[in-house]
Amino acid sequence: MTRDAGRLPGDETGLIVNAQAGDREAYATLVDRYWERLYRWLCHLTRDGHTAEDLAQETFLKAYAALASFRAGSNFRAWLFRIAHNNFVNQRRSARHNVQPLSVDWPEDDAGPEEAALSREAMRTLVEAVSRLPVDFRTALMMRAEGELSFKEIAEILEITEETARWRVFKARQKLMNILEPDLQPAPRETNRNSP
Amino acid sequence: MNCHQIRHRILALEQPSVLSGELAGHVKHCSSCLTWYRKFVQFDRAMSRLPIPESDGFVKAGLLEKIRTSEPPIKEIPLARLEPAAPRVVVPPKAKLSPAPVVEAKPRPIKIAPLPMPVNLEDDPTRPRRSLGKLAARFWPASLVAATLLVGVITWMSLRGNRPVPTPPGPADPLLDQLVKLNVELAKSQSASERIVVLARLADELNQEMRDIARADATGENMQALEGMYKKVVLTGLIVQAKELRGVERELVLKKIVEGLKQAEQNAQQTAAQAPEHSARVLRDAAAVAKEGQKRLDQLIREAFT
Repeated sequence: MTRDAGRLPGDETGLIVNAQAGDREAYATLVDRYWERLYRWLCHLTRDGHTAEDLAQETFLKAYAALASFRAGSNFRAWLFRIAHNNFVNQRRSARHNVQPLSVDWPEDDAGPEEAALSREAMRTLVEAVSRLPVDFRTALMMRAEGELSFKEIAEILEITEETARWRVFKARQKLMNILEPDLQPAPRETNRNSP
Repeated sequence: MNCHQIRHRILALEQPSVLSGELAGHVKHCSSCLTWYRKFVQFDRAMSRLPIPESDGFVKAGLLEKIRTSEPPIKEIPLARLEPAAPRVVVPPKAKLSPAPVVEAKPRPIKIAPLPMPVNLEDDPTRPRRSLGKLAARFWPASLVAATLLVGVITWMSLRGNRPVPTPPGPADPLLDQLVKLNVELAKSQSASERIVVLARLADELNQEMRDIARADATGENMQALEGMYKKVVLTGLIVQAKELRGVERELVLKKIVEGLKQAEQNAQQTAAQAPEHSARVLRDAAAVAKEGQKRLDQLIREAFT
């Protein structure tokens, strides 16, 4: 995936150290690197693109302000997600809970070969089902899916046990699979090299 | 394991696209699970590619611009409203699910919130604001157990033995310190599994204290008071919270607690063998409580998937 390109831990530590020393371009590079995945995750949490952008921006600004307190070499991605999650929690508390399905501009064109396995209708069902998940489950599931965070990292960010993080992802997957299974066609064998 | 359990295990995997051992063996030979698994892999892959609202990119561009032109983070950053540099933008092609049209972007007002700097350390961005009212309302059963326990310990401590009245600043009682600390942790816990972990530690502390004073307690009254609290934590607190857990989580969390109780039972029995009779009796009662706790938790684990 493109968002993983250039994710070198050593390189990242250097950027953080430079940013802490006042190198603004280094921090801008970090923002550029993590914006997309944070924005996507926040979209699924807030169900609103504009709110997600505002929260992403707030997250990076808060992280910038607190950068001196970040220990270079530790998990910057998890740190960002934690700040973002707290922003989301605060935002959700101040704004009245608004259950709106995520508004997506569906493309007219057909998608690439990988997505072609999942019909547009199934994708639509999935998006709607995700947006209706309880927020705790949605948060953990999308951290795993979008942030590619481990259960341990999710647990640290949400201040829960690893077992609880696993449970939330499990429960979210179970709910979604129950809804989606009738719409799914089994994936072809060759796309699934690691599976039996 | 049956198909139902296998699927539950797969759903709880961190990397479900990679199966090994018993899971792989079952799926390979069970056509129903194989079909289900292929669908699940397809679903799992789709999860990271869900379409999201197209962003006009102004907020990100504004933020990057602000960072590049601002002072280093140690100093205050004046964050004024930022106007977009160019009204016309080319929306980059959104990989796969979106077409790549050239559109006339409608710049929406960009809000860049003023940022208080330098950072107030008490305003840690990695900490959400806690709503104590909500926490109290949500977790009152556990809080009740903790509060009862704390009051019990304080009362017990004030009544026990011929202890000299401590003069401030006297050394703190380690048990009381630990119980207060765990009580705070219990109040902060957000899920049943977290509360169970804290309650298990509370039980351990009480069990340890009983064993520590077994030889010194002349009458056995202190031991009995501790045993009463231990019983409350194990058979009321833990069991009630354990029932809140479901499926895989129940199994994963409770197995560890059962192991801890087993160890506590053995320790209590061992200490009882060397303690005076009045203390040994209480320790055997505590061991029986630990055993009863194991039995009830085992029962709950068995019921997890029924």
